[in-house]
Amino acid sequence: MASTDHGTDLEVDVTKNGSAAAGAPPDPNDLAGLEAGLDALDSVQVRRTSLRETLVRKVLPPVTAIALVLVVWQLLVWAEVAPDYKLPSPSEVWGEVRESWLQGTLLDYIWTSVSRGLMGFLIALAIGTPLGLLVARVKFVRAAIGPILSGLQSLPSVAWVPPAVLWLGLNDSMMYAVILLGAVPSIANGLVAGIDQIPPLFLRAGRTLGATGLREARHIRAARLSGGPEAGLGLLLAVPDGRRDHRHLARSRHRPGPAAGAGPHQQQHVPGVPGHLPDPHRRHRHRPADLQPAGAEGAAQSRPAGHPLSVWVTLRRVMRTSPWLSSPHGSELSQLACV
Amino acid sequence: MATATATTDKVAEDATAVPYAARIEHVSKSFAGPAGRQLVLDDITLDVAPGEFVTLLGASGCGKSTLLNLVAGLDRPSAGTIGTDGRPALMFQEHALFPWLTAGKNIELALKLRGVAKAERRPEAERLLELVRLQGAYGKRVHELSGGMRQRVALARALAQDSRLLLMDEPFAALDAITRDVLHDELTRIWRETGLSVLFVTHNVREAVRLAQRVVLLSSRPGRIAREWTVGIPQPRRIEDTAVAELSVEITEELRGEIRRHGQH
Repeated sequence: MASTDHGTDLEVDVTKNGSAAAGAPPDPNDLAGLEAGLDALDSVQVRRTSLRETLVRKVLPPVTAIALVLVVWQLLVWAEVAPDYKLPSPSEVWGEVRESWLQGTLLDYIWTSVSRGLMGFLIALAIGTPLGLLVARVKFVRAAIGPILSGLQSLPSVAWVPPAVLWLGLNDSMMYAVILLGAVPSIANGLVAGIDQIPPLFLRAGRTLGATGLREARHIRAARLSGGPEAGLGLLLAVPDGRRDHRHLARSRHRPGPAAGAGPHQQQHVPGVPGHLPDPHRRHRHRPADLQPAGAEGAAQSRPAGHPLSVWVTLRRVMRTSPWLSSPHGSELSQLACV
Repeated sequence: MATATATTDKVAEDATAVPYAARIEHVSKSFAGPAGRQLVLDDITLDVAPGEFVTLLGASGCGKSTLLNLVAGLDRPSAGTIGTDGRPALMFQEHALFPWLTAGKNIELALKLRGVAKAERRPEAERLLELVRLQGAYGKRVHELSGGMRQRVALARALAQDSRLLLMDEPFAALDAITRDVLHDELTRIWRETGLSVLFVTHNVREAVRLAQRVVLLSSRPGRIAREWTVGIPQPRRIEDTAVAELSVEITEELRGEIRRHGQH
């Protein structure tokens, strides 16, 4: 390491560098050139995707899906499968959205939802993180509450709505209770899974570099859990994304009248895409799947998590929460270990 | 060699104090297996001199990776002592780069853990990338690099530890033959430039002869030192050199003899 003295000059001529080396191979030019060639042949071609490609690959499919749903929706309306107070037409719903925008109430609605979601998420994070760390690192705690946490995670958080309403009434604390009961176990479990699943190779590599004890926790385990900007963003997006639905679930119950009735609230009972895609603001979705922080898992897997289609999230969650359904995600293993 | 490395205070001090890069004395290792305790390494005694390139060669089950882990300090011997000149750097068959960091940041993490000041990390990381001829790779993510490039970044990260001893655990075994051949040249060049000591584990006889000054053959179950060869063939060598081939044939015969013994009972 001592013999290269090129300092910070990055544009050092490769061939010169090679021949300047003490006792270099007879054909240093060859080696450098050879290597450059190999690198060029081998390396993964990473090029910026063109705008057109992005449109075709990323934008077109969801747009098609939305259009399809709108078409089916409109067809159902025309076929009059349900009275229009149950199934309003897309244009009526759009009118409603537009009206509340013009009245200046739409952003307010959205902000109430988002702020609640964010608050709930932050509180859940504040509780779930230490809890998860405790379960992951202390054997006794894991044996004691690990199975309960896993069990709670398998329970859709909507299941908490009736008891929460009974105990706390229809108010903010009830909604936070439901959010937390759904999110805290998921965040804790996600953390446990993330800590459990760290490949031993990374730990060995870290240890040889001198990352032991706290430094290991910080530079290897925590760094991997946060998983880079994509996963971090996913964690933030995916979780509050679903949180807001509780508000509308509650609101639609205690805010009767044509305005509420005209919206597709009723479609809350339709699972998956058709229920929420027609509404561009996705105000009225009912996505219990999202109440579980898919993001926490996404982060643990170093994978972006905030996918717009809840079907996918639901599928993932079903896979994740059913240990007997074998899936490539590793968290089941930890759940099995917990149970 | 010790004088050439006076740039690093602590390690250089050690280098002048100890006449070896690694000293393995009467080391045994046993693991608890299904059939009771199993002896994996039996009374291994081996020195690696400063600046020396030694390959450990053996069939599977000879405990060569176990021995490397012991030298790296990742595990403790059941008996015997191991002394190294500072904490050795270790390279694996898998690149073991952290995928959440870029190539450059992987190297900088090693520098940071070594205690290099923040301002010096980036230039040093870039210098190391240049040493492995990857000057453009600083901001690349691990998945953007080819297998050979990843191993070179891993080598740069290992070099970032500024250790006097580099342990390599079949680092090229997962690469294609062409890339491996080029990386042999590359490793030889870097070894000669840096004056590092290398303890290189492989099951590839040609690779062992191509790279090493000394080839140590381990027998299997338990691992014992069966025989040693000093390789006098001048560097740079090529894997297809006649001299390399001849010695490889001799070592292979010996290795096969060792393996046959296990089929006889």
